[in-house]
Amino acid sequence: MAEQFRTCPTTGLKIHKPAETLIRVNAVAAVVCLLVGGLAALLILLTRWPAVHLLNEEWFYRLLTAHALDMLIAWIIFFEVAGLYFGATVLLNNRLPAPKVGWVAFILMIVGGALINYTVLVGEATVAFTSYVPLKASPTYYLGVILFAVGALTAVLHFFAALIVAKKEKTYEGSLPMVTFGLMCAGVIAVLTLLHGAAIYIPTFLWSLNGQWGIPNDFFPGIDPMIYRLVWWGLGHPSQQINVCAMVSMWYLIATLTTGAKPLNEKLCRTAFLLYVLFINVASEHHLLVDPALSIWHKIVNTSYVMHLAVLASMIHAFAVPAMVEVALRKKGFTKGLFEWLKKAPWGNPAFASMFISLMGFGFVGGITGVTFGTEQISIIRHNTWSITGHFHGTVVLGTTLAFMGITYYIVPLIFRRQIFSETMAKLSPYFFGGGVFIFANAMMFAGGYGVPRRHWDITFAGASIPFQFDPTVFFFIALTGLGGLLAIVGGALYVLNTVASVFIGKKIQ
Amino acid sequence: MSISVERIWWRPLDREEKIWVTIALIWCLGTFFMMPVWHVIAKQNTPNESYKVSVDDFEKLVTAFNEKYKVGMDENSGLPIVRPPAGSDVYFAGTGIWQWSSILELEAGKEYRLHISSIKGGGVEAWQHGLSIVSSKFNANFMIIPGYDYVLKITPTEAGEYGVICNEFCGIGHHLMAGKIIVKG
Amino acid sequence: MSDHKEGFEAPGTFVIALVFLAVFVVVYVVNFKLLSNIWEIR
Repeated sequence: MAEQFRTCPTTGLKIHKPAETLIRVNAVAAVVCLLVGGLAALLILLTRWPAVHLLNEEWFYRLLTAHALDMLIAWIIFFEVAGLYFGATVLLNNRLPAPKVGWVAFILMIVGGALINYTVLVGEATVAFTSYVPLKASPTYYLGVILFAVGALTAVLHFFAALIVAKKEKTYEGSLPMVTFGLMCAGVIAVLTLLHGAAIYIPTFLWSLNGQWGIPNDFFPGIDPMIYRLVWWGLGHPSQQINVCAMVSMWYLIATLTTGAKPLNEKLCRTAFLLYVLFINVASEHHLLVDPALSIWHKIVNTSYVMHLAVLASMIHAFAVPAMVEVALRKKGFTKGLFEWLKKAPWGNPAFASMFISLMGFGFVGGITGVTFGTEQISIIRHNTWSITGHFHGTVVLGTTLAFMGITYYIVPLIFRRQIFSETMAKLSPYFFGGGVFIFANAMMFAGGYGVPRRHWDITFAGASIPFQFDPTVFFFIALTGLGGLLAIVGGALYVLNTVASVFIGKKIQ
Repeated sequence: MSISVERIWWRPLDREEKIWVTIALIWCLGTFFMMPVWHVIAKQNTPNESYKVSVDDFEKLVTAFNEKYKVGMDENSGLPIVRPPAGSDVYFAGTGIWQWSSILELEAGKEYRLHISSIKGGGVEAWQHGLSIVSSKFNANFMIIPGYDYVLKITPTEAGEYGVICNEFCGIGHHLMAGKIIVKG
Repeated sequence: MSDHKEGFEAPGTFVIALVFLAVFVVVYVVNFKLLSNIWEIR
């Protein structure tokens, strides 16, 4: 057993080698997906910009589907799996109980992801991320999603098994570290979410088999579109709450690593994580506010996360993280006025810059608009407009993705034992990416305010039999979206190139 | 290095934490109660009336409605221009060939019961659509779900021409779904 | 604020949090204002 561990000379952490390998492969898969999704992002961006209008409609809708799956599902979940293994082993001096199971999970996710991408790119699954019935994709598409989800579920259960082993073998003393606690909450939400996914994707897969592969046309009955929406969003939105939970955990981790800060009050922060577990899963009903069939009270109670108690949790974290940084920096002597600590904070450290921009962006751009647009009546003026796309690029891109990018600068030296290839690229990346997404997401929300729809190939309606024109102001905001998007893509490319270069040709650390 | 996290972490909150949590909690409860309150004080709320209806039955309702109140024809699109009397039931659908079922002419200041759903309309399938009514002053959006009749009790407030576009991805012809509602003063 | 400062460990963060709340309130109110521009719907 002992030879399966090595001790990190810098941090003194004990690292389980099989776990380390699994963290590596999952992290590499994540970055590859980010690269593929990023290329799709560039092409979509250049198509929605009417001045360029690059792709034809078929390729636009194909790449739109691929972009959402590669980013929202593949990049983020691969990275989270790497994070879960890290939190349950490295942070706890612990081993991964069954590395083989970890490999099975990884292979399922890779095969699933490859099937999804193949089916979408050959044009047999142009159904957008939500695949609302009766839009139908080839069965291999749904099969890919199911395989990926089974793999992810296996990885999450493996994480829980590792926590139990750590507890039994007493590899740590006292309570779980807060980061691992947060990841555990993410894990609980993930299990609930993936069960919803199974409940909707398995029947949809069976339905898609009708008339395929020699199966009779009436093999499986049609799926009620309203039930599909209700159950699908039980996967669709809570899966983003896994990201929120994992992202907040990364905020705490980065705050500690970069400034030595400690949470001011662990009770408060852990209670906030519990609020996520208890109340966040009902948020899926955000998407059904202007749907038929659901009653007003049902909508109000569910969309408000029961009583916006999960929003309270985010407001607690968004206070606790900068507060712990402020206290740590004030102890270092930056006590002048209200904000000397903020000015003298380690802005040149890409992990800190990523974390702080992620924190502010998630709150100011994604969070505020999420609660506002998710209000029962306000949904009437925001539903399915580009404002919604702007909102979730504020949360998932400016928030989650940037936080994950930030922690990479610690994962690479610790787990890959390589130095970061270029410090300059690392320093610039969060500002380009954060600034770009900030402009991009806000401009999208303004354009959406004029009624510009999401998921739309041509908002000039050039081919429509009845002409329609938007207020010319929207073209200003769309151009701004284009510029912000390009900036973000530069930042993202700096991150991907630098990470890949570090992993493969970075200077080895002994 | 041995990992150890202090077990006793339930010390009391600091002053600013207490104040912030209180403010945040009040705000969160406020945003929650705003929703029922808006139902009482304002006239823009999500409708609560809907029925299950088969796609074929709704198509019959739309066809009968269009024939009954047809006043003209839009030459370019071939869509009927339909002028229902104030206060009546209006049947309006998105079709499987990415069109709207009619061009409506409504009267400002009068309430209509606008039934929305999805039909095949000579096309292949009744998709999910998004009804988005857009003018230079506002946009209003509701989901169109095949098999469900969503009843919007609407009162157009101002005369003018309003665009009707689809904002739920409904297949390859999604971006062709443009139409209009004409409101007469 | 000045009289509170003594007991505050993180006054800067508290100010940022208040700015956040102010922006939140503005966005929320503006959206309800925009909503009130639309046709009457019930």
